Amino acid sequence: MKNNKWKWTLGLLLGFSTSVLAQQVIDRSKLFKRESPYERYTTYRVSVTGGLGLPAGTFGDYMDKTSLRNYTLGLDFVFPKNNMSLGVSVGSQYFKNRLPRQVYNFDGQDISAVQTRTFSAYPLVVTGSYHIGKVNSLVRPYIQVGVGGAYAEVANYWGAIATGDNGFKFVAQAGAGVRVLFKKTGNLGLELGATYQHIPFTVESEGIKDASTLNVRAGLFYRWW
Amino acid sequence: MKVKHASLLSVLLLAAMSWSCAPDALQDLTPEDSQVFITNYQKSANFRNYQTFSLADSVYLLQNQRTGVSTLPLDFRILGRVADNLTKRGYKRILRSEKPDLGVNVIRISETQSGVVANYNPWNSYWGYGGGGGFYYPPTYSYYESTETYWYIEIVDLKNAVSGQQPSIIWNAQIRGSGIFDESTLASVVENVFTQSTYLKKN
Repeated sequence: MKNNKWKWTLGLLLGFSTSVLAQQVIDRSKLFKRESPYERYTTYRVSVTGGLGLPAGTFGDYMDKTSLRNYTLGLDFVFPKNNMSLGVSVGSQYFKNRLPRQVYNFDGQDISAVQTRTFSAYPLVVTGSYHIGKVNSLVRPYIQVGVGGAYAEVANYWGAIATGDNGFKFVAQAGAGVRVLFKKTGNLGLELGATYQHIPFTVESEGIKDASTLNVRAGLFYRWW
Repeated sequence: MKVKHASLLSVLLLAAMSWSCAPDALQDLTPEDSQVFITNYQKSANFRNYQTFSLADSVYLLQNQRTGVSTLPLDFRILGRVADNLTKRGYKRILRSEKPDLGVNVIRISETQSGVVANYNPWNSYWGYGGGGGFYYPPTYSYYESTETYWYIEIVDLKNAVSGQQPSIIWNAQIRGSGIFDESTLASVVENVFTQSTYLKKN
């Protein structure tokens, strides 16, 4: 309460000073209903999420295992009025599946080996988000799309003999989620979401046409101005 | 605010770099699991058409460009295992002079691969030539060399060999990985390449 009183006094003083300086009369009733900075300026948001990676498509045939080594760090410019935000995100994904020894039959060739199938990707994407609800809403669902590039590697180890391919690949992402502020006027919140990530990546020897994954993410976000 | 953006971007960059180190996928691979058995066969060959085989009394060595023969106790042991497996499958071992149908060679191959990799490491201890106001980090170079030694067994078709021409190889096997030169595992690794070649038998 004491604190509030202080704010009132400061607000009044500020109000008077601006009116004097700018020769602008602000209605007393409006003075204390000024929008928060989040509603006035472009503000910042950083989010760190991690979670479950699920292989999809032809990649799912190669990688028959989910991963928890799946992280995303995002930085966004949050616009005050139009419910949009624009940002960049970097990710790190690693999948590994060890298959017990078996004999693989090819045309005129048989190979007995323990396979260690791995996939890693480090995407860097530019993201655009549209939120449902105003910038200061406690709960803000969102949809997000992103495009960018990734260093990706498919490495299948037959015993210790590596086969596969790697390189810089195009990345397209589409996702949805929700951000929940811990406090109505707070900076910190919970982020939950799922992102489908498509990387065109052909590895004929493994029957892979695209390294697509569904990433289910949970983490924290922090906003400031 | 400008400064803030720069520092944020560098945090992003730093995070990206620290995440870019993939874990070693083979860290937990046991020597036994590292073993790979590769067999190739000529699809037109009918292995029932052969009766006899001969086997050299030494192991050939193939080391990059050099060749030689080896007669270590281990070499005699592998030759013995190969002969055992072929005998079990109905082929009779005879001398080279007795015109065998099949010729069998056991070779120990050492392959050395070497190369140079460039490390673009921005945390280098020395600064490079500054160019145009920007920073330029010269890469450091690492030299690597790795040698893999493995068993190679081949069966050549002497029955249908035409004089003056190289006889064709109708079957070969590679035994690769860790522990393949251990006395205790030699018998089983040799047996593996025969086990997976079910077609390789007289009857």
